[in-house]
Amino acid sequence: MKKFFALILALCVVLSCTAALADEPLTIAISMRSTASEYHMQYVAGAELFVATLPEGTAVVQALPCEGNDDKQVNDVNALIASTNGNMILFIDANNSPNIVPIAEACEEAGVYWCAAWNAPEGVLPMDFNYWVNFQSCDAVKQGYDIAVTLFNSLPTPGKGKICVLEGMLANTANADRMTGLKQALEEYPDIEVLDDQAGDWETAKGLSITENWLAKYGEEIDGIWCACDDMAVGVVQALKAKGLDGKILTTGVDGTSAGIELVENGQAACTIANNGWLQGFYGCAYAYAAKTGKLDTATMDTLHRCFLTNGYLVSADTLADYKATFVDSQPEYDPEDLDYPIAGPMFPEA
Amino acid sequence: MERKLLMSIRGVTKEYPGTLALNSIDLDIYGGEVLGLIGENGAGKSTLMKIMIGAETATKGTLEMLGKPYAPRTPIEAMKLGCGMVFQEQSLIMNLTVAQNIYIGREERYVRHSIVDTRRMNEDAQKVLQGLEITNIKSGTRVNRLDFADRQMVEIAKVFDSVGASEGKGSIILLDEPTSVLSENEIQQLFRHVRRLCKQGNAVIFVSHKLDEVMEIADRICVFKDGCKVDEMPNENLDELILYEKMVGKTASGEYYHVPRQRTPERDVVLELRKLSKRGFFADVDLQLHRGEILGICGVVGSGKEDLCAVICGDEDPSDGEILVNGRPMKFSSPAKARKEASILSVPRERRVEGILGELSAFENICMSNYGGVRKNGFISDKMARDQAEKYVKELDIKLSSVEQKVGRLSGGNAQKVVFARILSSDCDILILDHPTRGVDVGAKTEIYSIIRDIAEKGKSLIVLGDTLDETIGLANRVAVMKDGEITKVFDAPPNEKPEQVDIVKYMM
Amino acid sequence: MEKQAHVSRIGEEFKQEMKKQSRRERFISWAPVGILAFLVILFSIIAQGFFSLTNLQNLLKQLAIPLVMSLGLTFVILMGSTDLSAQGLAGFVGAIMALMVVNSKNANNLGFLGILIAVVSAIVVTALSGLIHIKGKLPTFMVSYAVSSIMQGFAVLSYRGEPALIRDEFFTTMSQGSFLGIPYLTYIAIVMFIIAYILQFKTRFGSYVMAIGDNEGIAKNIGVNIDLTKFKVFLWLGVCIGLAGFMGAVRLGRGEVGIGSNLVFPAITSVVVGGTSLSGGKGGVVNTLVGAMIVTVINNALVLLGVSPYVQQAVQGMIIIAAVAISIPHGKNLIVK
Repeated sequence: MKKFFALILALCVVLSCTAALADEPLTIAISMRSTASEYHMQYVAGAELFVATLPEGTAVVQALPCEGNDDKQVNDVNALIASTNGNMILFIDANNSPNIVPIAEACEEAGVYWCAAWNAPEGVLPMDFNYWVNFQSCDAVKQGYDIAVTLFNSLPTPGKGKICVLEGMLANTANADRMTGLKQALEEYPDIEVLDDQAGDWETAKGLSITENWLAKYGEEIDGIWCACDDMAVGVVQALKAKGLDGKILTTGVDGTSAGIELVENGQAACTIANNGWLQGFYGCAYAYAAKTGKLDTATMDTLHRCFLTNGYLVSADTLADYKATFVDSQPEYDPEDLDYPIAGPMFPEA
Repeated sequence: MERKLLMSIRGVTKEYPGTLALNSIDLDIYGGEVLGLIGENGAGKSTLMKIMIGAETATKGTLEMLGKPYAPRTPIEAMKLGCGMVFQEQSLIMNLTVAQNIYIGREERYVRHSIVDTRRMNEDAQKVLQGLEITNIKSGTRVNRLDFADRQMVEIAKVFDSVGASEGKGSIILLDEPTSVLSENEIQQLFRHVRRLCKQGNAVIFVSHKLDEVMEIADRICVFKDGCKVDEMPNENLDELILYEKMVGKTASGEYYHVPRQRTPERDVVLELRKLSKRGFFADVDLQLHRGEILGICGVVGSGKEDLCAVICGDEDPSDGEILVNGRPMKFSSPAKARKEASILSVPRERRVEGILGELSAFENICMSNYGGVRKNGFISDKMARDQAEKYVKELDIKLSSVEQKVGRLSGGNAQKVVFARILSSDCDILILDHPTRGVDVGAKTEIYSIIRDIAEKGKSLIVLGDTLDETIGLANRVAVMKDGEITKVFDAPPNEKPEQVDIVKYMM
Repeated sequence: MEKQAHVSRIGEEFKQEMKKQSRRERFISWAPVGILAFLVILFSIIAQGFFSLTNLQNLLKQLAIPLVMSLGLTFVILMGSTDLSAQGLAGFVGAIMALMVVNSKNANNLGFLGILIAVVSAIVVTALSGLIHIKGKLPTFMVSYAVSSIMQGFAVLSYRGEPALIRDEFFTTMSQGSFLGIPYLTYIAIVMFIIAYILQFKTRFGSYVMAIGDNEGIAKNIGVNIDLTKFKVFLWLGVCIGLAGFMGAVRLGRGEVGIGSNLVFPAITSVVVGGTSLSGGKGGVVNTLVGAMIVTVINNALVLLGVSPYVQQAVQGMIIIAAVAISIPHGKNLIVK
């Protein structure tokens, strides 16, 4: 037994050594939550698309999934900086906002150009750093608003009815923003009544059991279910299916996962929003690479280019065909030279 | 009647590192007899029984069962060969039924297609119980629903059945302190079973601290002392006190216990117990402990002396009565509180289990109870702890390679001295020593007695539960005798007029 | 004569104390059932829709997976061990099963064989982790946690970020169908409960697991093959995790690693709330059934009550602590003989 363990250990050591000895192209690191998430894998796919635009052998993509562990995210980035001697660029979706600070410091010290998406602590901005090229985010408030409006308009009586609300994880920024968007929409649609509001922690299984319980309590009183992400929407639809109510009671999603898209296709969900991880990953890398190769100078970049929002893609019955043609049946194509392309709007309109 | 020789034991010796637990024992066990084994703690009875049931192997010597060599390696093998033991610590599985317990490990007969025929097993178990005239226990009941006496009966039934006692080929059953949880009626019932078993040609070995019971049931009595069989006699016209004297042997010289160094305690009372009781264990105990006094408490197993000490040191709660320390009533919720608020420290008997931390070094063990004394700026000063430890190592003459040595590796005597070093470093005023010389060789014993005298000379007060009665008398200024949960007599034991063991024993039995 | 009277007094007192303790133990052993009854009555009164046929079906459905999972864990915990591998392993089973039956990602159509392979793979994995624990003398806690991570990794690798949707007819029928008003999945759980009941009460294996949990030393002396019994416990755990993974895939209609998340702690909670001691040797599958019902009822009713999601978790935690506090004997003066 002991020998067996020792052998495995030895094997691991040898493997990692050989990896380190290989020739060293530029490493493009993608640090994100989990390889289990389809959306997070789109970042990686986007980065691969970007690498494909460069001469062969120039760069390699390395995914650094932290599996929801903050320490791991920071440590992995530091470890990679050390092992590449700083010959890398980084695109990061911070597991939690505070992770940005130690990573910013490490990159500043090692001279690693990097871009971030989604999460950063209040007041910590790229403008304060030389190597943090930019920070992009989606307009989650707009997402929450858009799916709400689409749902309200697809109810049996458009603009009128009773809905249940399935939040993601409480105290999560994206969830809070999407809820803000929902509230804005509710103000505009006074005839929509919210029956109940529950949190499903972004999980399919919880979406399923919460919906089952709603159906026991409200039955067909429910006209629609506003659901904050695709994964939970899959559970919602499973519960509806068991009662033969799928397609009659519509739900919503955000993220544009293949399962979410399929729900829209089957007429079970009113819509989902593809966050477009390809775009985020592609341009995250493109900006950092441009800075690294000297095409961009962070000192002279304007605020818009350092902090901007990207557009998601609202997939509903109307836009489904177009979406599939672009993203499912073919790979999206982006131009690494056109750095203005991803910018949908400023992050700080007043500034 | 012709007696059939069931087992013969020849020259059995058992050595543990540092101690000779059994010294060349010869013993024959015959069918149809009850053999009583008596002796003090550590006299070697348990070791001999463990060897008989295969839980230990003899260092030297041979055993024969029914004329054939007998060397079981496990208790289960011993049972198959016809020798089983009813343990003092019960070996029943609480959440299984009576029947499951009786047949555990031997279910083959009842298994068909991997399913146990519970009904048939219950019926057979009921028959086994009936065979022992136990009628109040249903074999399908879970053991944790039974009271202690019934559990004991189940335990006995299990062993009786396992060794095939009913088959008449002659089995040996060892009963280790079987009566400690039984009432008078139940004891009589047990004795009836024992006698019937013997009639069937089996032998029963009966081990008990209660001499009166041994004398009631045994046909023959063997006395053990210090690993030797000192006497063996038929149970006829025996005198309890003479038997006792054989058990404890000659009184050691006063020099051995450093009696000349015994000093008169001061007048002031540091600890007083008033009508202290713990329901079911002891009742209405009144005792006083003076400054600089060594108070011995003696009594047989189950007399309540251990429970009394557990209450004094805060490990258990009393149900009634008061504990006064320096005249102030005290209540302790834990031993830690007792140490902090009343300066009471208890040294447990099972040193390997409760007393020392074998994986820690000597110096860590020594300063364990008194980190406060080696603190500097709020942190434990390694250097101070080491210096303190070095001091005690020198003072107590503890033999170790360095204070870094792990205590688990030390001999019994040296490990015990580490415990004493910890006591000294804790600087507590009232110390409770539960069997302070258990598992310690003779040379180290006298050194420990000397340390105990040192402690008393410093004005500390001690309560000592001696390993032997002789030790208790030899060390103590006064000896309190307990029986069935109450103090039956308190003897004064000044240096020149130590009470006789026999006089004390009268109040214990 | 007076002496004699005193002797019997201490003896009598001792007997009374023992009786009191065994009464207390008996009371505690019924506590979980009392808690369940109390919760059911309480929620029937205050929660709209709790006492309805639809919700009863819901409860039965929601009970199925946690029950199967905790039946597997019961034996592990009875033995005094713990196992955390379910998280990753159940997810793995669901993920590879989805990829082997008719699905959205590939052209496989192995049908029942696919289900079987997936379930058997769980048994193989727990058997391996059991062997590592038994032969390598490594603590189950760490081994199973590591195994969970490994299997989670494999699960994600198997579908490369995008879980497969299950299109197999059989799964759709399983997830939505019912017989006599009871969902199919619940029948699986009922069958598993019966098997577990037989294992515990009608086989040697059951007695031996109890014996090991109560006191491994005694079990050894009695002649119980401890390693073999432990190994069998892990095989049974594998069966349960495999089935739970299968049932999860059926319920969600897709094979994602998330099937296993939030499975381990509710299962352990069910076992403990039911009154099975974490130190082993006490409790059993009937306790687990009651415990699983308590946990399921709490989860269900909190949603029906419309308790704000912000306090829901806290309320749930408090109910569980209260339930455990009542079901487990504690106190300084417990007489342990």
